[in-house]
Amino acid sequence: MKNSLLYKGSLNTIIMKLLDENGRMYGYEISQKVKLLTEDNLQITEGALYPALHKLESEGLLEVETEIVANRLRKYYKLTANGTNEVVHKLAELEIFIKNMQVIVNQKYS
Amino acid sequence: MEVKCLTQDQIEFIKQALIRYDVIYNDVRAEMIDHIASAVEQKMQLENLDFWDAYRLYMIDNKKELLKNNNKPYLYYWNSIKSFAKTLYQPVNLIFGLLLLTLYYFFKPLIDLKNIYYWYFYFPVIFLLINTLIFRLLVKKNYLYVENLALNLMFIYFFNLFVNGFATHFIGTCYTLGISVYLFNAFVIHYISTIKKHRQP
Repeated sequence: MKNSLLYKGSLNTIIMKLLDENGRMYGYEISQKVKLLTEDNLQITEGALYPALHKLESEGLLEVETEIVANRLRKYYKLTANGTNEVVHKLAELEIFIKNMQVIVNQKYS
Repeated sequence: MEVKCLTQDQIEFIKQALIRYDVIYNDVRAEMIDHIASAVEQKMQLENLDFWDAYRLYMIDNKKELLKNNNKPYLYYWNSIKSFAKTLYQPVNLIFGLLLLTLYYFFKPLIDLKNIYYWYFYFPVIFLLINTLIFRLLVKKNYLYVENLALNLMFIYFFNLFVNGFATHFIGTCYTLGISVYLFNAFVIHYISTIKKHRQP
């Protein structure tokens, strides 16, 4: 992920927000969607994406559907009922964080 | 534009390459295959490349990142424990726990804890043995989620050994035995639901 340290803490929120808007998605699709939305500024690497997806799954926020697509197995991730509730909190948290960062960054020191 | 899908042989090629790169877990490998195949298909489409060039170029750029967390099962142990812990709060397990307490309360004089423990002690061991036999000898494939399940069972076994002692030397109480049985029962439910969840179509 570009600027990984800055984005790292928001990765779960990004994934959940995308799943909330798009229903179910598979790993590669998520990485491409992020790339597209941010015009290549943010790239989620495989090494960061899959551990995050597995973590969210183990926390019961995501569930998995496996299907055979184009000669191979594909794992689709989607939000559980808990995940749908949690995404609201996570987004609210992120908004507060962004506001606070803006206050700090735009502070004019005299 | 029509999407170019990889053939069965090309998917098999990716699979064999990942086996050569020592991606030993089937479930992890299946997800990697889909990721690589999707990326290669897109590369073939956008850059008008054939499979071999698209695959080679993709792996040059992404192989290191792709294999970064490979064969590091310890990275996922905590997830597995958290997932199991959630089972403990399920109503069916709580009812089972309550039932254990009620049984003990009403039938205390009739219950021979040492005898029950003698038989119960071997349950987790037998379960682990059967699980190992099925996946090592019959299925003959490695699955990360199965290893993680086995780890949970090991924790329960050692917890039981620590608080209740060995089969022939029961040192626990009805409560420690109750907790141990409760954990094992929750594990069996968690095991069945996890296996069902990962069953391939």
